Amino acid sequence: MQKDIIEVSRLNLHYGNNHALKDISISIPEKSITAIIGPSGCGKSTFLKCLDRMNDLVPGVKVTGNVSFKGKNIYDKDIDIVELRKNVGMVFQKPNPFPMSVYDNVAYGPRIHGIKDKAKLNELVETSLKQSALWDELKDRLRESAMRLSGGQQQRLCIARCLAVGPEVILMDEPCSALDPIATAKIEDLMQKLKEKYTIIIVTHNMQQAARVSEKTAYFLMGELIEFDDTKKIFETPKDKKTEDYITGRFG
Amino acid sequence: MTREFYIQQIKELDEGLVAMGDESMKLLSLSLKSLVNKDKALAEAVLNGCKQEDAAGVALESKCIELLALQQPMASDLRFIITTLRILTDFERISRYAWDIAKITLRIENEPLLPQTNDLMDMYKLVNGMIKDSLKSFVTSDVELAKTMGTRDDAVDTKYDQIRRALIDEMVRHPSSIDMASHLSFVAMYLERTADHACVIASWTIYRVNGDRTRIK
Amino acid sequence: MELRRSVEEKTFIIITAAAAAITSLLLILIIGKIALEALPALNLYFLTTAEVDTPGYGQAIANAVVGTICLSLLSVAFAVPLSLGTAIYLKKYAKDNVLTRSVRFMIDILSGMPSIVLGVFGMLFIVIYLKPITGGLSLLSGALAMAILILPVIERSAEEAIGTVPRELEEGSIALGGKKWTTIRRITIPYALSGIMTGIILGLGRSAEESAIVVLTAGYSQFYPAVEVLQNSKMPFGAQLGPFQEPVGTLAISVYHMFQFPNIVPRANGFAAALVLILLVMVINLSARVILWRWKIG
Repeated sequence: MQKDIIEVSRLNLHYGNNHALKDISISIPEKSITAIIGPSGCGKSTFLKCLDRMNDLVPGVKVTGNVSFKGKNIYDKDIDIVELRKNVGMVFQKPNPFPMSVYDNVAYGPRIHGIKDKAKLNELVETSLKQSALWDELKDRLRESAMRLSGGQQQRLCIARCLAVGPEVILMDEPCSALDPIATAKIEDLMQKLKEKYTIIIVTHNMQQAARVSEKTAYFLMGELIEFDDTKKIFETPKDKKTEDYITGRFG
Repeated sequence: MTREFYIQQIKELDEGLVAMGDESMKLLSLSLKSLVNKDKALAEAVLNGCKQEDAAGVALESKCIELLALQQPMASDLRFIITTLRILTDFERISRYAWDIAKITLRIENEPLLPQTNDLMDMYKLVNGMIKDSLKSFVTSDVELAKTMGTRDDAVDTKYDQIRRALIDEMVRHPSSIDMASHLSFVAMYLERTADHACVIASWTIYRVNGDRTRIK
Repeated sequence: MELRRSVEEKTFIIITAAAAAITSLLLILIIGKIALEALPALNLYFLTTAEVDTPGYGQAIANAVVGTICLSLLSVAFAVPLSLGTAIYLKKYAKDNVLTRSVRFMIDILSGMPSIVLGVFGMLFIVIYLKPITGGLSLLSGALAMAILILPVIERSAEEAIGTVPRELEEGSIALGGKKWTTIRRITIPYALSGIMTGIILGLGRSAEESAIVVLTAGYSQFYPAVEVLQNSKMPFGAQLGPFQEPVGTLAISVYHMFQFPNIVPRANGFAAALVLILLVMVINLSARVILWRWKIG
């Protein structure tokens, strides 16, 4: 039986007066891919950002409820946020490589966490680039600026950068929406490989992508979790009519 | 409502399928009538009707494939299209039996029918009821009605056994009737198979409604 | 319709081109006139000798050139930490509330302050009151007062540059577990560096050409600024530390002096000093831009 690595219980989030997440409770199984789908503005990205507390950066945000990572509530007062973000990494919608070399990008995480030894850094960079299927393409171009890479390569670089700090969970916020179909396919293949070692939670507005890659799917609507089940069940026999309407494209 | 064009296509597919079911039921009924009344003209009409049915079936099949390839149907739409593809073949089979029966009508010329024909008609009444109700359950999404097919099929099977034994008896007693008796035997078999198809239709109707794929026997 | 539009287009092209031409012409005129007048005085002796080594007054400007450079660099040295720190604090740490907005407003007022006012403040507070530290009219006093002048210039450029750093880059660093200062140090400042450098260059140029403050705080000297310790009983420890606590000569004052005594000092000298000042500021600007360009390419 698969363990649940993240357990969310009665999570509520307010942006000022806007009640953006309403009483969300969900358990994410480890070493698998969980997709979150829903129309624009339904709160799926907001929910994702609660899992590594990136929402803390937004002024006026108020969070109540429990988000447990491996049994510990990440909103506790004594939580080490740096440690949390090492364990729960994030890949963003628009690839955001730093304006540095490929090597420095991947080494950034380990460096800021105190790793100075060149040999160790080299090893981390190589492993991470291999894990994101970039090593063969870039092993002779490590000193090149990351800004010269194509969109798909940049996004895979961002994944490598995330892997270099050794997370257990990788959060992906619409990682393919800025990419062409081939780059998208490469990243989806990468996800299938990565799920053997990492837990992946992907927010996507592309239902077919969610259907292709995930084991479990959650449907959000207007800040609420409407349905969460095996992906096959959601797309073949959804229980809630709202889920059915969204999936079959019947809006309005 | 979004996806109006697509929703319209689903609706048309649904209507086309029900029409085809209706038509195959009618053709079966007419083919039996032509047999009992030795009505050659009616038999010819049935043969024509079956040809048109075939064409209609191919068209519906194409539509299903098109929708699958182009529209990414999901959930209930997906189940509907899969159901349609499956029970298309059942309707095709039923009209095939109508064709075969009409052919028999044309072949027996003016030979006298056997008394067992009445039993055949009784059997047909049961079978017709099953087909009608299976189609009804499809149209009204009536899972309970669909589930009744199991026991009704058992009754049809019993009747089939009965008729077959009676026909064999007849062949033993009056060897001159072997020709006719074997024809009627086939007709009985077609009817029995039709009842089986009604069960399949019912099974897929249940799948369409709630995703449950247990077969009704 | 077509014809009318093209006439309109042509008119605007002509008007805007004419404006550009007039502006360039003005510049060329000014520099040209000054250069022409300066010609008689431009020779190696004038440019490379300290005034102290010349007979009388205003015959050479080497000391003023060095003095101007020293003063500008020192003012920037004082201003940069203060303005950069302020910019980082306001942009990255402080919440956007009445307090921060007031601070920005105050910086705006500071930038609008007439330099003569700053000069008077400088004189009263820095030169007279803080004499034991600054040595009165001195390089140090001038640099301190100048730093106040250029602080808003650098701060505003720095704030703007920091504002251009894309949030995604900073978020990327934070998502990797970076703390706020780590992100500022490794991502924000490097990205904003060219903007910050532009601000520094502006400040540098501004301080080179400033006269009112210099008059009231830096005094004047015919000597090169020199590292030395002079005996002065009025200073703490009886020592005056050069070059900081000594007065310093600047080109702006040289120009002023030279035109003050038209009978003693030839007109050409004044113009020559002015020309050198203009060229100095241009060189500062250009070389800094080249350095930035080289940096960006590499």
